[in-house]
Amino acid sequence: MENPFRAGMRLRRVPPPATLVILGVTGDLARRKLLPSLYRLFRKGLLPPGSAILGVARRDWDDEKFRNMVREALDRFVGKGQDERMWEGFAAMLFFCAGDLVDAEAYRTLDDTLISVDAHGPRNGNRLFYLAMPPSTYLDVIDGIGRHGLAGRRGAGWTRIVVEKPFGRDLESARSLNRTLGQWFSEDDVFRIDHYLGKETVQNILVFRLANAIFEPLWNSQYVDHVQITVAEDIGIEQRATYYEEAGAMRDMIQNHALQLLALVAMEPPITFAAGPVRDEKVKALMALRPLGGLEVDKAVVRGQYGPGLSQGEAVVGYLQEEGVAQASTVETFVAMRVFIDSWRWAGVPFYLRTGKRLPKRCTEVAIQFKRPPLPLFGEDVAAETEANVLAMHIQPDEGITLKIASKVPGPTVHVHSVNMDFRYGSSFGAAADAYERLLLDALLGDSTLFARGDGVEVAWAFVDRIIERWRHVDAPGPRIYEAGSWGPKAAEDLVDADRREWRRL
Amino acid sequence: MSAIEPGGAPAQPPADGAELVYTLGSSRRVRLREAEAELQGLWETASREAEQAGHEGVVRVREINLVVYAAGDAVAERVSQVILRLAERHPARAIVLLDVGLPAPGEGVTDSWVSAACYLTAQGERQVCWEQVTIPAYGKAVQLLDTAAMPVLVPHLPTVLWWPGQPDFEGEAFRRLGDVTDLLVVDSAGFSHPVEGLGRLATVVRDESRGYHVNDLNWARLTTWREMMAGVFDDASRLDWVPRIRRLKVVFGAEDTFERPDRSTPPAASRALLFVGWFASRLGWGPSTSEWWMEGSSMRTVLHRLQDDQRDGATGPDGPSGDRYSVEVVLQSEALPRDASGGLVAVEVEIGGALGDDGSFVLSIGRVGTSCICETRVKGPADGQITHTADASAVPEDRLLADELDYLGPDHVFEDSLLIAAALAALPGSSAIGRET
Repeated sequence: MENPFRAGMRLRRVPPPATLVILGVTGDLARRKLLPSLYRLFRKGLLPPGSAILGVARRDWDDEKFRNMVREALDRFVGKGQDERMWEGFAAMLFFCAGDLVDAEAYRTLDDTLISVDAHGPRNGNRLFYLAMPPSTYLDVIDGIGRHGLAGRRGAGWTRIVVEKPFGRDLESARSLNRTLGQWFSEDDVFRIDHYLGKETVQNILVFRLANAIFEPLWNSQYVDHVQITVAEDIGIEQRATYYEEAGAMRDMIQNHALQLLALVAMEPPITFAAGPVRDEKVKALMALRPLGGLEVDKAVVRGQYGPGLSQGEAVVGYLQEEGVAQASTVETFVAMRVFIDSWRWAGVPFYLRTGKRLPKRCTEVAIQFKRPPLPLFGEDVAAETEANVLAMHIQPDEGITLKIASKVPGPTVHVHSVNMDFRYGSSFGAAADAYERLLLDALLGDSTLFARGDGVEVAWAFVDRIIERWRHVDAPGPRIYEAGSWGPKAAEDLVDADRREWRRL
Repeated sequence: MSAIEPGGAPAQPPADGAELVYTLGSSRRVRLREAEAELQGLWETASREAEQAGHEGVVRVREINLVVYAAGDAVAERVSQVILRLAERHPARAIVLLDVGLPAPGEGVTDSWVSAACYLTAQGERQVCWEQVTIPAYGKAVQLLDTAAMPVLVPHLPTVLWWPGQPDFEGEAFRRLGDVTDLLVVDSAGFSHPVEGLGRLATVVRDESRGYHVNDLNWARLTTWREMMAGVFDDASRLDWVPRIRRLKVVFGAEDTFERPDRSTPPAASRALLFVGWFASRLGWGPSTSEWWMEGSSMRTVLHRLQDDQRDGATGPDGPSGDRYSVEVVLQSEALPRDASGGLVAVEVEIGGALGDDGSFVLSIGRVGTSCICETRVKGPADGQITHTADASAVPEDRLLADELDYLGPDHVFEDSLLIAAALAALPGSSAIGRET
C-alpha cells in the first residue's frame, strides 16, 4: 500500500527514512558539500522523519562534538543565523562513531553504533554508505564493510553505497574497484558520483535535445560541423600536489567529466528516461569512441603544463614551482584533443575536448557548432561576416543555454550580425539546487540515472589508458609549457587550426 | 486618478535584496492602442544604452501573460510589488486591470500605464527584464476588461489570471476574462466571506465547460502541513494506523490580516477546512449528512469513511459517535501572536488501538510555542515519540504565486480537497466556524 498522502504532491520526491553513514565525515568534502546539502534537504522537508546521519572518522569524538563540527560547517558554508529550532531538529539526526577503518574493530563498533542509531527511529533497515575518504582507501573500506556484514540487506530495507570519483586510476584499478564493489553490492546499489552530472544544465542536455522536436533532427553529422567541450579552471592545483602528481588532467577531468558530457551529447535517445536505458545509451556512445593510440596520440592530443604567469591579475608560480611537485614532473595540467565517434550519427564529426588549470577563467560548456548554409545567398561579403550557428550549453559558473543566430542589421544594405538568444537558469527559474543536493536525494531514492555505471567507467578508462600509455613512451612529445592565465599552449590552437576551425573565445 | 501611478515603475529591490532593479524610463501614460509601441520603444532605448555601455544588450524575458484584476489603487500598488519580486522566477508581461470603482467618465477603457524594468547583476549588467501594462477601467467598462487585455497579450504564451480578493464569480468581468485564461489563481483567504466563498470557488471547479485550471494561494499555504503529515506515513509500518483514525482536530489562528467586509470569520478557517478536505479526500472519506455543532470552544462534525463502507469485512473501531465508519472532525480557533502570521496552529489525529482496545494515541503536528517552527510528535504506547521539524513560516505572496506558476497544469488534489471543504462549508452550522471564541 502506498502512502495516500503523497499522492498528487507536486514535484516532490521524498525518500524513505534511512541512515546515511558518511565515512570520513571530518574531511573537506563532508564539511563543504555533503553536510550543507543534507541540511538544505532537511530544511526543504526532503529528509523524512526517522532519518539519521552517522558520521564516522578517526577522531575521538562523541555525538556532541560532531554536532558542534556540523554547526560550524553550516555557519561557514550555508550561512550564519540558521533558525535554532531547525538546527535542533537537524542536530537530533546527527550521530558520531569514532574509528579507524583500517582496523577491524572499527567495523564492529560501527555495526553496534548502527544498531543503536537504528533503534532511535523507524528506518526499516535502510542504509546509505558514503565514501568521503581518500580513493586509496576505497578497496579496503568496501571490503571491510562487506566482510563485517554491513553490506547486506536488513529485512525489507536496502543498503547502498556512494563512491566519489576517481573510480580507479586506470582500467585495471577500475576493474578491481568494480570487482570489490560487486562482491558485496549489486550494481543497482552502487552510486558512482560525478557531481557534474547533478548540475541542471547537464541534465538539461537531454531535455533540450529530446523534449524539443526542432533540435534532434539537426543533431547529427549532416548538420553539425563539430562539437567543443571545455572544462576550464582558473585555479592551480592548490594543496593537492600529491593527488595531482598521480592523476594529471587526463585522469582528473577528461576520463570522467569531459567524457560524461560527451556521452550525453552523443548518445542515442533512450527508450525511457530511466537509469538503465539512459546509462545503456551513454555507454554505447563511449564504446563508439575511436581509440587513440601510438603515434595517433601525438597528432590528436596536446598536453600542456602551466608555467608562471598572471592569474586573475595576480602573479602565480608555474606547476613545477608548486609545493610537493617533482622537479622534473611531466604531469599534464592541460589537455586538448580531437576525438571521433564512429557511429552512424556522428561519423566524421570532430569532438574537441579541452581542460586545464590556470586558464583565464573557470568555465565549463558544451558547444555544438552547426554547418554553414550551403549557399552564400546574400553574397560572399555577407557570408564572410556571418558566423556559424552555435548552440552553447553553459554548465558553470552560470548555468544556461545560448543559441547564436544570424540576423539582418536594419538598413538599406544587407549586413548580417550574429545575435545570441540567451537562457540563464538563474534568470528564468531562480537558483538551481546544488548538484550534491540533487545527487544525495537521488541516491536515497535509489535513482541511479545521474550516476556513472561500472561498465561505462571501464570503457572511459580503456580510452584514456591508451593515450597515457603513449605518453609514457620515450619519444612521445612532453607537455608544452603555457603561461598561467592563458588558454593553453599554442599547440592546442594548432590542433584546431589544422582543421580550419578555432576554439571558442570564452 | 490616484496620486500613485498605477503600475508605476518599481523602486524597491526584490525580497532578498540580492540584486538591484533598474527601471527603463518612468511609467508613462499612453493610449491603450499605443502600449505595445511604447514598450517597444523602451526596449530599443534599453538595448542601445546597453550596447553603448559595452554590455551584451538586454534580455527580455516573458514566460507568461500575467493578468491581474486589481480592485482599487491600493491593490494595484500591492500587486505591482509582487510582480516585481515574481520576475526573479517568472518574468512575465503583467497586465494589471485596475477597477477604479468610479462612475464611467464616458470614455471606456482607453488609457494605459506602461513600464518595464530589469534586474542588475553585480557587474551592473541587465540580467533579465520584464514589463507591466496597467489598464484603468471605470464604471461599466470594468465588465469589458477582457477586450482591453486582449490586444496586449503576448501571443502563444500561457495566460494566468490572478485575482486577489473574492471574484464576483457570477459577474460578467470574471466570466469574460475566464475565456482568455489558462490558469486562474485566487486566494480564498482574502475572500470577503472565507468559508462561504469556498462553495463559490467549488462551483467554478465543478464547471466542466471552463477552459482553465484553478489554483488557490490559500491552499498553497498548506504545503508544509501536508508535507509533514505525509512524512509520517512514509514509514509503511504506520499505514495500518489509517483505518483506526477516530478524530481529526485542526486548530487555526483567529486573527485576520486581510482587509475585507466580513472580519468576523478569520481567513484561516477556510484553510482549516481545506486541510480537512485534503485529509479526507486522500483517505476516501466524505461528508455525512450531519451538521456542525458547537461543543465547548470548538466546532464539530462527522465524516464517513466511504472506502471502509465499500470494503468487505471492514473492521474499524467504533467512532465517537458510535458509528464505526465515522470520524469526528473538530475545528477550533485560537488567538496567535502577530508574528505567527496566522494559518494553522496544530493538527491532531487520534488513532485507536490495534485491537479496538484502549491503546489509542495521538499524532500531532503543531507549532512549538508561538514560533513558526512545527514539530511532528506521536504520543502514546503504539510508538516511541518521533520528532520532525519544519519551518511553517508565512510564505510571502510572491513566493506562493511563483510556486503556483512553476506548474500551469491542473491540481487534481486541490480540486478534490476543495470539493470536500466546500461540502463541509455548506453543512448547517458552518457559519459559526471561526466565531466560536
